[in-house]
Amino acid sequence: MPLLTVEQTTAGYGEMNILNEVSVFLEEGEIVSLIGPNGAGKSTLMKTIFGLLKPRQGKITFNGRDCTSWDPDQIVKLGMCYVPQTENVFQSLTVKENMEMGAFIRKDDFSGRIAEIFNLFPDLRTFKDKKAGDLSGGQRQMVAMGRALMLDPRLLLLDEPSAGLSPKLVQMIFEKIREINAIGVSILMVEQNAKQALALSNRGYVLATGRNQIEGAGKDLLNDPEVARLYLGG
Amino acid sequence: MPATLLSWIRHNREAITKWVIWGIIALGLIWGLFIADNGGPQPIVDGIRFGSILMLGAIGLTLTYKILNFANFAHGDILIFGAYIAFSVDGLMVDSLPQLFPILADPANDDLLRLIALFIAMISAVFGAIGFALLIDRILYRRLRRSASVVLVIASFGMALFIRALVQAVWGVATHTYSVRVTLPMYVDAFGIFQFRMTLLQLVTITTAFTLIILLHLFLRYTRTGKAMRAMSDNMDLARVSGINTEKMIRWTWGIGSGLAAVAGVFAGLNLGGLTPIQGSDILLYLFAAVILGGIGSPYGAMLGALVIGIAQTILIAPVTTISSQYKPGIAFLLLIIMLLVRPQGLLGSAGRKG
Amino acid sequence: MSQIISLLLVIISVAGLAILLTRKSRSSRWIAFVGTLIALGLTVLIGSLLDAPSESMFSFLVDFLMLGGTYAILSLGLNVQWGYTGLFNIGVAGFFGVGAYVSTILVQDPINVVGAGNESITVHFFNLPFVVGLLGAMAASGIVAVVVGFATLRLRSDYLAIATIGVSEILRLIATNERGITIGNRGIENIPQPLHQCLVIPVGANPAPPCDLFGIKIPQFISLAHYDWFYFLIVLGFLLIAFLALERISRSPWGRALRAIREDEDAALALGKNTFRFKMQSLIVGAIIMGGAGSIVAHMVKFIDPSVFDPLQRTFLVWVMLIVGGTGNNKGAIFGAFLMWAIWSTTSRLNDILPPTLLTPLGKIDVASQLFGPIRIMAIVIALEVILLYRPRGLIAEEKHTSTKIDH
Repeated sequence: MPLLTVEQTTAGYGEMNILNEVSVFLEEGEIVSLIGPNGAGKSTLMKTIFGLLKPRQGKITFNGRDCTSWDPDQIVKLGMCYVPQTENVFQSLTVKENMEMGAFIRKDDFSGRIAEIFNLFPDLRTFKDKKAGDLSGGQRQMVAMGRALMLDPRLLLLDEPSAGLSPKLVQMIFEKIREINAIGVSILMVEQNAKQALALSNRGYVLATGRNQIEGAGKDLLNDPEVARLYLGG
Repeated sequence: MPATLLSWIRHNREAITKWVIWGIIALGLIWGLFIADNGGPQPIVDGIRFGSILMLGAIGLTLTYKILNFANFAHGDILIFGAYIAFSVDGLMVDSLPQLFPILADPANDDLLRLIALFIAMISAVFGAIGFALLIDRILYRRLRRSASVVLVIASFGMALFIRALVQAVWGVATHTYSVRVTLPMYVDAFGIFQFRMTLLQLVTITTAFTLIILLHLFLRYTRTGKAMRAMSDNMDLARVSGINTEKMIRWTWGIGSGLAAVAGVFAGLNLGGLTPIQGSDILLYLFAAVILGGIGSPYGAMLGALVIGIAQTILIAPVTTISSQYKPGIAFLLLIIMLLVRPQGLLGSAGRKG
Repeated sequence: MSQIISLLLVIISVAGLAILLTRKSRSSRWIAFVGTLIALGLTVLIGSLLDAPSESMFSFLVDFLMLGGTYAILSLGLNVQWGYTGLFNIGVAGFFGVGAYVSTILVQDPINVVGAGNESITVHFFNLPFVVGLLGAMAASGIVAVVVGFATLRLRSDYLAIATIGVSEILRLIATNERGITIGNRGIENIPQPLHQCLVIPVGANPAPPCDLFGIKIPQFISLAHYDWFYFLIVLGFLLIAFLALERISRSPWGRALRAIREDEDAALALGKNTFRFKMQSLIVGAIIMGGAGSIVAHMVKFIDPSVFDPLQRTFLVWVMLIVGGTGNNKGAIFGAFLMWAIWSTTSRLNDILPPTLLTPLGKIDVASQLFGPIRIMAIVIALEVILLYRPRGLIAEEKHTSTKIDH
């Protein structure tokens, strides 16, 4: 049974619907990418899955539980964590404090977990007492991901992890994503950088105008001339 | 040449305004302390005293402003509401304690009795104010959480009038005072350079305020809840995303904010010549000035802003200058407007939060 | 007796208002509207007829109409700022008070007062005609708006709120302290009224001669008691002119631009509109209207003191009037003003049936300031909060749902 299923989900703001009967699923251990043009509803889908937006129709199941209209703090307890695209760190808190906020719902001692995260992102250990707002873009992105990993989630939602980063850093981030997946965390990500994302992913979904358009294995989508023409920028 | 200078100024505007304002504050302090006629340590100390009262009130205001995203116009009235509760409890204690503890009935222990009564009264004020603020949040503000900030401001403006009317109905318009007798001034000589007068009461005011501030700092810096409050103040959406129970944190915010405000209210009643219902809104302008000066959302900014406003009140007024003391709120307001023009994010806020 | 009837009618009016605000169907709302109007009209009529005061049978009525009219003017002014443009002005009292004082200073005769050391000071006023006072009031209010606007219009709306309250407070301090200009807390009495000497039949030993306007002798034909009706015509005239002008404006391109800014300022900016200029203009226009109201009230009541800057009536009540009447709607503003004023002024007469002091276990309390006044305020606040909770449309004008956040 898939770890995450989204069935025929419709959601939007005000009178408009951004998502129209979108369905996706994700098996444990997979990396799945959502790509497509601007306005397609990819970020909205993420927010709906994570409970920041309540769907008007449809069903969302995670880890066997129906979590369709749940709030984020309840979904976090199920084992799903989310990294927003912008403003994804607490700028006035130190790196270490950011990590602590990630593990907020844990009442026990999680310093071991912080050490593990620092093993994953060694640079962060150097900066652990520096304010997150004083770091560079790439470092902030690592803080953002580290925070989300503090609870050892089964599924990590990433909203455009490579946005605004230089090509070298993009490379580094995708490498990290691979590492994180290798440890056993499933990943669902929205990406503009479709080529690199699909190369990394087991499967992908192409969304446009709030609907499913194409889906398939990552490599297949990469090589699909239709997809290449429309969404990979040639 | 001028073109590049202008563009350099514009480019570094954030840092420049910060240092210029700090510089002006430092210069003002030096002028008030050493240079001005009728200046010296006395007005500075008086200013610190007023500032420390404002400090306690401003913290709650700045936190709710940032976390709940609206300017709470009822904050000053919550402050004075707490003070009035303390007044009633104070009177009650002065009457009933000697019956419970005959040793306090001895006239020699009169001052002690009044002090104990005041202490108990202050604790009651804190609980009363917190309870009242949480009640108002539950009934009113919580239902308006998703509304535009304007709606909340109007609602809080109404609440301000409501609380003032309630206070007037229960306690009347006459000025009330606490039972504690204002002690004679002591003469302090610090380092042989600074000489000033201060009563024991005033000393207690300043030390209590600063102690509470230090405790607050430790709370925010080292406890789990404190860090979560800082996180919420920094980025509310991300706090939600991290799993922080935002409603619970909001209750903590009201609790800390109104609790400190209640203490401020009692000190205001003790130091500023008694309690009247209108004091709540009188003090609100100073609180807003302090919050904006320091930067919305920063408790440390609120402390700083409060002290600056407090000292500005005393050194920019007669007898140090020629401005009548009636214009005290005017000074605070002027500083507020200047801050809005020059650096709206406040001293400790960062740019890009123009609102 | 009449007070009890008045009270009953007020209750009916309030009930009608509640129906008005909560029922969806147009017909039941019309019935509620008409019913409320009738109840109010009866209230006022009964109030004026049954309590025949010494001067004139209709003096209560004309007082009600005059003051209600000035509140309607204030509501219109606030509607321009808040209803059209979304400017959050809680310093209405400040603009109003500035108008009152400036007009008085321009029009009043010099007065001798006794100073602090028992010396006689002559406070100089300018003794100019009423029209100059009115225009001066409007100009002064506009200038205050410019100052406030420059400081805060580029920032978030909360800051404008704080600034307007601050300005109001500062103006009150100036009025209280600059005794050389404003006579401070004692206030300025015997403010002249327009054409009073010209039109009123003189009474007493030294009758004032009739005045002439550009060589035409104006007969003195109004009795003293009826002068107020003449003044009411002035109020009505100002109100109508303001109303018609604003109706015209709201349909003009300028009005549409203001509405666009109110709904989505970022979109308006993106379309290239200089939002700051529009907001400033709106602030000024509203302020001018409020200043005019201040002048009119000063010459109506013939006495002002720093309490004109008190925010309870001149700011809060006006906001309630606008919210009740429906933001963005000029007719609604006028309706809300008269409705709330009727409730406010009629309930104040209730004070007459209550004993002045009451003996309670807590001691003797003064009923007016400790019971009646506060309870009335609390009731109005509760009504306001209920409206905000259940019918926020009264505060926020009709919103069109066009923009949504488009995600990728």
